[in-house]
Amino acid sequence: MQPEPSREVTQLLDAWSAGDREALDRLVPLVIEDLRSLARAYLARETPGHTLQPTALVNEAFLRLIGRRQVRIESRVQFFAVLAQTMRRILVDHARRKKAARHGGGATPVPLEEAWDLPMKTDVDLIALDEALEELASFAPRQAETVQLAYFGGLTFDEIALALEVSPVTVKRDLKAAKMWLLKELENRDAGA
Amino acid sequence: MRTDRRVHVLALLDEALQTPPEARPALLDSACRDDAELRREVESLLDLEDKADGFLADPVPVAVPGTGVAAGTRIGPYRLVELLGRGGMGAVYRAVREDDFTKQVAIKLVQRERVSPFVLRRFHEERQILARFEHSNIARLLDGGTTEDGQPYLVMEHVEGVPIDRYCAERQLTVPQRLELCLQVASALAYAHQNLVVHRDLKPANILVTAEGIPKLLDFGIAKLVDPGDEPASAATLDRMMTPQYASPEQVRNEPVTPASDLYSFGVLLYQLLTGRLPCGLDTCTLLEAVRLICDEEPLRPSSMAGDLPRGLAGDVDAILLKTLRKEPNRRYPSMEHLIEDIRRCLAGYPVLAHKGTALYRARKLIGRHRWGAAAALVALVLAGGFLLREQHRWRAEQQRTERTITVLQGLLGLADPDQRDDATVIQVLDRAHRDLAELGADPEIRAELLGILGSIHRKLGHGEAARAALAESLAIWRERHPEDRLGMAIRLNNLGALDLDQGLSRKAEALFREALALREGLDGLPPEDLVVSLNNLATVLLYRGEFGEAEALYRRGLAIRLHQFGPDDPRVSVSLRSLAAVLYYRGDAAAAEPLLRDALRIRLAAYGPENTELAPVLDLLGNVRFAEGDLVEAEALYRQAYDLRRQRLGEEHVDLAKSERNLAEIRLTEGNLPEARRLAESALARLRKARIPADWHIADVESILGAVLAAQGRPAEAEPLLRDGYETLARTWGERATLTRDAKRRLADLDHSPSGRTIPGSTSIGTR
Repeated sequence: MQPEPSREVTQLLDAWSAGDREALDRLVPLVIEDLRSLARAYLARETPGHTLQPTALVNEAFLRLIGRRQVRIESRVQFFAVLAQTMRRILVDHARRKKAARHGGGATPVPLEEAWDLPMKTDVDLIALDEALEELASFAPRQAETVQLAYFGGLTFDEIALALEVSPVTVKRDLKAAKMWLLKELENRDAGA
Repeated sequence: MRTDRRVHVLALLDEALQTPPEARPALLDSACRDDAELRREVESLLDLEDKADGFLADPVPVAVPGTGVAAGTRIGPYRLVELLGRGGMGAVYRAVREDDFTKQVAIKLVQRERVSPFVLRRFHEERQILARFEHSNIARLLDGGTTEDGQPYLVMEHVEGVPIDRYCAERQLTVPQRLELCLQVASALAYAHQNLVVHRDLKPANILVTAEGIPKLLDFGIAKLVDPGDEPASAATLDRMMTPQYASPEQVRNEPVTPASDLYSFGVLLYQLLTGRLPCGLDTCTLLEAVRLICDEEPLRPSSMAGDLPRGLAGDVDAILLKTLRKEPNRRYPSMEHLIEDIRRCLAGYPVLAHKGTALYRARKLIGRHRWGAAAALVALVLAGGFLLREQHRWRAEQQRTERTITVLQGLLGLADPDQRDDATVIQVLDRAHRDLAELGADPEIRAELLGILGSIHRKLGHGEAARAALAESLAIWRERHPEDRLGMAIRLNNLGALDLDQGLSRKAEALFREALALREGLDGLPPEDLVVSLNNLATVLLYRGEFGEAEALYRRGLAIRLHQFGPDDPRVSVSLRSLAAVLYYRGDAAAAEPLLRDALRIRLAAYGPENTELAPVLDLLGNVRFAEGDLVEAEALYRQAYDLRRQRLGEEHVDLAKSERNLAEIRLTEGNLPEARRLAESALARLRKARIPADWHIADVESILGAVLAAQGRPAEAEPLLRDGYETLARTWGERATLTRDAKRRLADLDHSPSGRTIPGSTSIGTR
């Protein structure tokens, strides 16, 4: 049912779940590749109008890699944090490409049927959000990370708390403050644009 | 410099968020004494507090189309008011007629960027389909057309209502009411099918119930005409996974979709409305897992998911839903009409047709499922499922595994159901399971899991030795590999202990239950009810053994936990009340037991109604209590009430009737009506001997009573072996201190001390308990 992860991945996972944090760094590129191909498969298959939560993708990637290996909860949360980061990259890249296609001088408009398969923004401009998040991270890294985990990773307060080693109450407050700051930043950008 | 400032702003914002709104001005006053700009910045952020709650509130959706049309837009003679939702091809708006604002309609509009020949054809099809429909439970098509810039639209009856699942929950509809409501939905589907249309996207969001209680089926957006040979493959692909939870196996496999698929989706809906859960664990799975579950996982019996299904309906509802949710379309009901007919039969109390062939069907499924390679893969997946992120605690993973284990178990136990018993099949399945399990070998955890299942099945079927072998090995594996897993250990200890108890090995059972309880005590995050199970298991052994003090203390703890957890009216509380009453009664304090039993009876009457066998165990014990208090008339009335309930609900052949016969025999014996006492005791004994192992203490108890009757009839030679055997078995099982043992001993002594063999009838019992 699930394709077996490669030997390399398996070994890295073992090392990592045994507490070797460096193994995670080497694992990341492999994870990202996996997530990318998963995301591509999803995006190609999804029916227009169907909403897919990233959590589903991330869970799927997790299952494929970790399977029924027993992994400590902390390790799992770290793993999800990596996936959230990856998810953000994929989606923002996608939005950039789409924007480029839209504003590509009108020469090669995206064919309509094909456009359905692309992730579309809801009411959030992903590119602007990404930039604003980057700026927030420059002076408030934990708050920015909180947003990333919640919005791009679909993690709950409790899970984020584990990942960032703070209390869930702090997570809740951080997320609120970060969202308030981001909202203002995005409004300023809109006003400036 | 600027960075510092932003950090400052954020820090102050953070502080303000920890301060109640009314105290914030004071906070800002003191924090920004000479920095007006800082204050302005923080205040402008605080102004966004409410807005921020809705911002990024849900995780980023990966594929959601924009809407593209603003409220207020004119479409033909209508004006859009608000967006109601998005469908497969476009958005649905609430709109009003420009010339009559009271006329509300729903307008479905294809987004401009989506207009394509394919979509246009689809839209046209939907219009054609709806135009032909005239059914009170299907939202009507009123109009349709194309906007000035070429967007097609449909104007439909605007249904002011709430989704059917919310409606049922908000109105707290009873099970029969839910069934009645769904019958209307079913009739709408039957109507569509008669018109050769398959809905293909049935789900609660597509069924709105009006304030008058009329359900209306919406959104035939991906419906298709049942027209063999005219199905473009691309359309099928696109439709795939629209709403995976409600999709039929053939839909997720991208196979031809027929009215049987709607029937299946309707089954999912009904299952959800009756149990609050989706079948096959679909409410807690990832999207990809859903495909596997839909195709492979047999649904749990609804009655096992919903504690509040009325007993009278539960069996029929199970049968109907399982037939509706069969994986193979041709094994479901042949049409919606057949399903409707069976639901009506169920509501009217007639036997439903779904029962036919159920045992055979299950047996076939089981044998298929227990080709253990596949089963092992399934269990492996189950284990994997346990490690999903949302399963945060160790015990939750265990719980989930236990749940899945129960799924398989219950499927098998369905076969052992007395009504549908087919011994050959059961034994065949078990034998096969055992053989294949031996070959499986590889993974001890899975092996332990499956042995646990097997052992429990054997136990239920009364195969003591096979059960012992399997359960003991499962425990041994766990003890060796996961002694730290307190929960897994406790479950296995309890299972083996229950078997010991069945076989009268009360000392061994006690030791195991004690160990299980110790493991569960003080385990963080353990559901309190799990602890109660352990408390009660141990207490039950102690009760029978006559260790009243500790039994009482344990039962009282369990009762307190349940009262706290479930409130005073929960049936689980009544179980604890009855158990506690049993301790008091056996200890000789019938007066103290009585109010507890009256309360237990009240709870069960309210929960199950007056015609439920759940009342019988309370009536039995209350009868015992009244008997001990010397009120033979009421005791008999209570015994008889339990007897009648059992006869009516379980049939004349059921083993549980033995309990009532035993009690009534004791009354007759006391009254001196010896022939009747003997008839009852013999009947009880015959039932028990058929159903239980030879050395079972229930048998011993009745043997002892029959012995007393025979002795009273002046037949000491026949009486003695019964009295002696009964006493010895009870002594071996429960020890000398146990009440049952002491009663049996007294009956034996009465015989020994009365050379003529005649005792005073019934003198054995009154006042001695």
